[in-house]
Amino acid sequence: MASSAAAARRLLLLRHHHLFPRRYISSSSAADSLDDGGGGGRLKIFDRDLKRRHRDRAAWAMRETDGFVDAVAENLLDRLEDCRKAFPSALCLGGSAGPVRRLLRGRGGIEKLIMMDMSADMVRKWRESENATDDGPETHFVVGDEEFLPIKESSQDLIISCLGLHWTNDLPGAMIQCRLALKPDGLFLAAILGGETLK
Amino acid sequence: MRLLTHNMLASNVRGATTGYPLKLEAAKWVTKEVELNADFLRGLLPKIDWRALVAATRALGLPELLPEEQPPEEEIFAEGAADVEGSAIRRIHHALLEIHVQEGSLVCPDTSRCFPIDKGIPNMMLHEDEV
Repeated sequence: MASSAAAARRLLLLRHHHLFPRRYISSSSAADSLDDGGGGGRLKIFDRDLKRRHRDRAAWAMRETDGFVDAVAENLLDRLEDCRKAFPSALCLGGSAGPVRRLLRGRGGIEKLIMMDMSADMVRKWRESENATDDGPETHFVVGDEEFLPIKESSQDLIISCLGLHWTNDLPGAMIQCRLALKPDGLFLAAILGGETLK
Repeated sequence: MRLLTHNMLASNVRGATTGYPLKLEAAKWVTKEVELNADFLRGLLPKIDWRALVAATRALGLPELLPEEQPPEEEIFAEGAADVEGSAIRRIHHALLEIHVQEGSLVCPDTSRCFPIDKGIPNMMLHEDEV
């Protein structure tokens, strides 16, 4: 647990109204090469299709709970308790959205949650566990790609991404799309693995 | 997929200008009752694209469910309206939260790209050559 706590301390925490993506990405080598590419749009570092298949497989192979992931999710959701505002509609992006929903425990005043992942198997798995537990917010499920966020502009109060955005080829682009999907004064909360997180 | 989710989804396939609203084609849908929460709806309604919602209900073959124009908020949230069968708030609640599209598709208005809805989950993934 010591290492997971250390990793969790290095969570990248961003507030929507401070969102200047390029400032935050300097520690990530993937993002550096994006900058070098100029424009940063089409450079391919991760094979997203392969990543989707990895996540299909992970959906069947993963354990119900994972101490490391839970520590990160818990630490991330802890931030919601610092906000006086309530966030009735929230979007939770791939990576560890399952633990986020499980550990929410009413925080953030979330009444409607959309869970999205690029892996259809992963989304199905989440829905199964949502059916098994009766508590938590009203949850909706979508298969989609955070690099091409299929969400209407200005429609969400909160976007959470727990350990998912480090697989995006265009991190600034993904974050800009999150910003567009947020209402003014919405909150963006994310945890990603950065350059030295796992050292 | 509830119609609330439909109201929040947009297509960003290459060539789409707004990609909104997606045209709903439902092959199978069910209704599941949930408790009405007026405060939640009050916060939600400003975010709802009324035209898209009405179009979705029409696509399901429910032309009577919602009027063409959104009723004024005072009428929707009038005292006691939630207890009246057939009131605006009850209809809106039913349309947004109680209708679940199980099988069907969402069609991009600009490019006619079809996104399938499989067992209630819309799949908005694009192929590599579509981005």
